[in-house]
Amino acid sequence: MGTNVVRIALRDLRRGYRGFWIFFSCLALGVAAITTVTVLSASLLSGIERDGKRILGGDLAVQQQFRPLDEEKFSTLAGYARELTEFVELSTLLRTADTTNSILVSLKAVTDTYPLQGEIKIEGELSLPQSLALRDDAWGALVDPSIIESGRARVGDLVDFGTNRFRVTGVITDEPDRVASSGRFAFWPRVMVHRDALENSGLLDFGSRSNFEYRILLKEGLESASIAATLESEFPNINVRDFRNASPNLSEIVKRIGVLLSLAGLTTLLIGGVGVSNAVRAYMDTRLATIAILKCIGASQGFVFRTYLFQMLLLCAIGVLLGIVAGSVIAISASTALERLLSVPLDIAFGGGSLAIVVTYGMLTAMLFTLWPLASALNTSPASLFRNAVSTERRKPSWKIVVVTLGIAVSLGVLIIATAYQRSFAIWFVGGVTVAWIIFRLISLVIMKLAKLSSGRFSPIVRLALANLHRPGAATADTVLAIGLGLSVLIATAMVSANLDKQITDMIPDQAPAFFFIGVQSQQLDEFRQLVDETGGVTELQTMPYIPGRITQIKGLDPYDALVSEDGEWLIDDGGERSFSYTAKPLDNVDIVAGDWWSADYRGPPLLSIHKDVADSFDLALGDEITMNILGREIAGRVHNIRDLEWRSMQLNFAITLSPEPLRSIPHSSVATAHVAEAAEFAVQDRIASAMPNVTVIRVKEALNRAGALINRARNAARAISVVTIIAGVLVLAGIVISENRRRAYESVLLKTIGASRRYILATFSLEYLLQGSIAAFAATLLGSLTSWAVISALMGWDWHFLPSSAVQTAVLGLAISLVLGMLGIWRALKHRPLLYLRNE
Amino acid sequence: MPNNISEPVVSLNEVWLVLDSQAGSVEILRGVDLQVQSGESVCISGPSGAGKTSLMMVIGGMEKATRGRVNVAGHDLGTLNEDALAKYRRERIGIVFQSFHLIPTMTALENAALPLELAGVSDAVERARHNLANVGLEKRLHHYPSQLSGGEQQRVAIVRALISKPGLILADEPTGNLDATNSVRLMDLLFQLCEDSGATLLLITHQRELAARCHRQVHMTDGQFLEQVG
Repeated sequence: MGTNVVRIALRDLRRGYRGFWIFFSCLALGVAAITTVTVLSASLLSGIERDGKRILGGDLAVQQQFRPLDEEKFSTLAGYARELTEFVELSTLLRTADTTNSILVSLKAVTDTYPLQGEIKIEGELSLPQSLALRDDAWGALVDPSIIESGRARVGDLVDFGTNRFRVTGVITDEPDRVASSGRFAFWPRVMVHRDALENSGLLDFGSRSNFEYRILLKEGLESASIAATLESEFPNINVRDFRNASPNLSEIVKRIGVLLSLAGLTTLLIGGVGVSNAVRAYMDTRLATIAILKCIGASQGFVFRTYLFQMLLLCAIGVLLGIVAGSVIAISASTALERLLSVPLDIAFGGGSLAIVVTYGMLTAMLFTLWPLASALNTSPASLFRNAVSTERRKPSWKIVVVTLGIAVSLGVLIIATAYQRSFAIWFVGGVTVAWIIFRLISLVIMKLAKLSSGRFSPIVRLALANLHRPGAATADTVLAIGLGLSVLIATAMVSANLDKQITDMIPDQAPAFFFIGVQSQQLDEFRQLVDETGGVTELQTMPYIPGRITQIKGLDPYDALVSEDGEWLIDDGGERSFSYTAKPLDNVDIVAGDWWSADYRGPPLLSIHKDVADSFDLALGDEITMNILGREIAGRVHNIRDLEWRSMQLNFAITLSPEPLRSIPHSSVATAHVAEAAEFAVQDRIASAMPNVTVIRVKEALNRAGALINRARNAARAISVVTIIAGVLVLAGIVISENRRRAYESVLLKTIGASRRYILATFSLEYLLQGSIAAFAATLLGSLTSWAVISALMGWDWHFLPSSAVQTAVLGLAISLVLGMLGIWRALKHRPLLYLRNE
Repeated sequence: MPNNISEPVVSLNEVWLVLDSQAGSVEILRGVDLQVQSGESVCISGPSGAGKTSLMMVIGGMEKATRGRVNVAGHDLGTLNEDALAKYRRERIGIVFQSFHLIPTMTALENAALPLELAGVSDAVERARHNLANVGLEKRLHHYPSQLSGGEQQRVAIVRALISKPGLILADEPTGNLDATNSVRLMDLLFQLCEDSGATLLLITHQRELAARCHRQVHMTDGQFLEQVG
């Protein structure tokens, strides 16, 4: 750009940026949202990477389920170690004197060498060894703040784990390796005790579902990844991780949530784009005379274009910069809370590359919405000056601008897809936004066409309202787009939220059992039944054998090669351990969709009853073979029946259930469910937990409460997203109302002059908003519902329900907001004095 | 009358301008012929809607004639594209409007210097300063249009129109928004500057005394020249 271009562009901006607050707000809001997400996720990932050793608790983490490492494994591990610590994790019931306060917790039993890395932070003045030490016949226990906050226990209280007694000595405020440890126990609140305190507690007896964990700092010169690989190949049954991959699950979650939130931010940015476009059009309308003058005195079309393009680039850059600064400030402010929530030290990282992508998003979006109104304004003819007839009527830009605009849109789409962690989701997003865009554009065209066709058939009020919808330069398209897109997001989030609510409610079926008991040993089964019976209040007790193992072959193929649908991947994921069961008698409450049950006295080769989802996921038919490794034995069985059942009925059921032989003779434990009268629940819980510490007692209501709390967090996040979107939509509508204000004021003055009452004028303009808003809201209801289906059903894999009340309520609320905004604009317009306008004419 | 009458600056042959509108085609100019010599001043008069302004737009290259030939300062305007027309206006034409049309965000000095700046002249500002001083605006250089009176604004507009020494000045009712005293002063200035620079002047006005100061007057009605007056 030449210096003349810059000079004249800057001179032209002397009127200041006052009219640009909507422009800046729309742009900055979306950019700020994306920046916040980008900075927080980059900081989290950087924190995980930088503090890998602290998060993992050492250079290497080794885990074995159910039993400690044998001597050979332990000495191999110790051979690599400069320092080594070991601890045990398991879930057990924290029992208090008041049995109604008992709660399942994730117990971590550590030794004096814990932690190797980082520092455990405790509320109070005691050190970790002091907090966990044995005093006055009770071991010390540190608890999660939520246990204190929920009133389950207080510092100083005596509590029981298994058969041993503990005193709560303090509260854990930061556990350095919390994220990387816990695994399947992470769901429950943390309690930390000393490893020695578990001796004779019954918690580590045979059948206990505990994880034995080891952390080591390697000797000088040893490389963690290669030692991890060596250990894994030497001892295939242990799980080894090195600090460079301290928390793959968390990294994965951060990346996935990052994508979801970035796309939500992008939606805000795109809705804001409509406001940007409208603001640029309003601004360019004020520059039409200047453009005509420049052309009259010999400025070429290219020169004028470059001048205003420079202005727009400058303004867009300011908007984007404001967004980046605001987003960064929000991210930094939120980082402490996030650190506390996730127990991961954030390494505030602006991730130069990621921020460059955000800037590119912002600039591309801004230019996408700027170029069109800019170019159409530049078509102003210099001849218009001769007649003082500079008109704000929309002019079509040249085909070159159309091509460039399309090019920008495609570039933005490609960038979104190329930079997304989950490309498939990003493709859906880009496709969805494009379709939504086209739908709302088409709707606005239809509205304008219908308004034009029918305007002669109604009363003057309606005629005027209809004329305003289709007149040249009408903001119908922008209004429909802003209301439509904004409401679509709003309805989508409301429907997602309502579906999540329903999910919580539906989690508790009418006939749900009160308890799940895991790890009842074969020799304990009779005693267990007796204990439950004696306690009273138990109306139904169901037990089933529970045998861990993994699938090694399906139809003679590697399970991954046999997989035809991702839905079944969980069964074979990472070759992990799954659970199987056996039964002689047919299972209750299941529908057999193919085959039949084996006879109760069947003793032949293993037969399988598989769930319909398993059959579908691996394309299994009756007679097909599945091979499982159970406690080192390869057991192959043929599919004998395929059954369907409702998982959420909470009946005891396994994806794969075998005929009794040969599993019956393999040592195994059982799981049980019990239907218990509400008043007897705590008594049953306490009785089993104290008498059989190795059995994990899960009270269904407690588990559902915790699950509900987690889902609530997701729902609140969805609401937060919708709030940002509402702000973007309101900004856009406010922009439209402001830019329309002069025209409305002029029209209302004319109408007043010819005798129209305020009520009449108000009714006319309100009708205009109501007509276009209602149609946009209707389309948004359909589109928003479709989006919520995609999120709930396609993304989360849950059942989606169309919940008309929440969709309609949101649509009406959104429509009401847009109407109120419109009315405010009309009210302002009505306050103008006729003289001002008529004198100027 | 100008000395050199062999080479017409403006030559219109059988020029038609037809505009399409929703109500159908409208013939604005209907076979107009006009020859204007270099240095000549010509007044175009006629009733509202006669086609005077449209004729000026065609000569200024802001409207393209539907039929006929428009040759100005050696340029066949029908053959020029948008950029060439812009260059033509920058180098050959100066325009003065009834409503002044100064750029509101630029000072008097910046408005006046603009054509030279667009042409890449290095001392544009100095020359604008000098020319504005010549028309008595040396104390108003840094005022914005809104801070100037109508007469002052029109003086700035005239300086802007003449600063790049164009061969042809198009003035569309330049005194239409001014009072009588200011009108006379302004036209004195315009005629004087045109005479000094040897520029040709095409003037649209309804004021007879102004028309009388031109070398020639033509009367238009219904898109055609009806008569030559004086």
